[in-house]
Amino acid sequence: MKELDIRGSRNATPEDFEAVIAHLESVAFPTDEVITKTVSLEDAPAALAAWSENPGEITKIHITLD
Amino acid sequence: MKAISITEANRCELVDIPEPAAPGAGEVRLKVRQVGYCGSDLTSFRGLNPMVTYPRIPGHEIGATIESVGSGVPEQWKVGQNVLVSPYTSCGQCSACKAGRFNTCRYNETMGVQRDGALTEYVNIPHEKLFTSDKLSLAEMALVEPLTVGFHAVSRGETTADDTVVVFGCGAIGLGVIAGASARKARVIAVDIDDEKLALAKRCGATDSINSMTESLHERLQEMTDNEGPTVMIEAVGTASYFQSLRRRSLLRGTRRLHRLRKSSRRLRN
Repeated sequence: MKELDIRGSRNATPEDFEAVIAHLESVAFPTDEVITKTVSLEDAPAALAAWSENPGEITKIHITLD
Repeated sequence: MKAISITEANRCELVDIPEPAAPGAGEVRLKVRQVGYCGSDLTSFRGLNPMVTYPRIPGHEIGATIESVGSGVPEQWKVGQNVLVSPYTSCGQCSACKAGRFNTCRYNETMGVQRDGALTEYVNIPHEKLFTSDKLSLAEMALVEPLTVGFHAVSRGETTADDTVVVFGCGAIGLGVIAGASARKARVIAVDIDDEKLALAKRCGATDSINSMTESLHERLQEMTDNEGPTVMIEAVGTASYFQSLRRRSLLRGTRRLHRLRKSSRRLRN
């Protein structure tokens, strides 16, 4: 027999932000692989439309304003 | 200044908007430098996010530099400093806030969802929403917010090093769950139907992986856990039907903690 605890999880707390920062500071997280591609602000609308066309091919799109 | 605006469903444009006023008391003005698209931005673009009205500037995964500082901002925040932002609000008055659960505020307004986001050149932000690190790049800073969603689910699971955590779905949210469970030294089994995503999951901290399209999920989980089954399961695929099927699976035995991430308005139907 099961006695499951089912919980929801919504958004995040300041403690979660601190935990992620500490984690990224301490491990070799594959940032470059998680970010599928980086585009300019001018190309951001097209990138969003392309993601909508092929959602399975994208993990994360970044937009650089530099 | 330039901004990205979702003007209506399936229409997104580069637009020109006025620069924000000088930062008010307690605020800083940020020069936005790197922003990640969230799945919620995609949902808004597709016209499927009931919390969004148009036009809406998307973007709440932010890496930025402090451009100027308003009055009353603590000295720790300085012009030229790189920061990231918590994009949420809390009213302090609703039942969730009164219970101290500010992340579930009934009246939360997430940047880019219920209010305009950061895909623009400058934004003013209350200093209480800032975080910084002198070790992270701007790209990493912009990646922090999406990863917090998974870290929060892991926290909700009270996950420890003694747990075997199964994570369903290895998209951006699932990878945050995997990283969060890994940070707590748990054993982490990643489940997806895409071998490339499973490989990336391992580089994010998963100890094992199962392709549920080509392998028997139930049998593999039983093998991996000496027929005990996992102690924590976290659903990060994002569909109600998937969660329902998970809940019915016979692999759930003993005392288990099962979590569903909810970052949009999708609701679980009984």
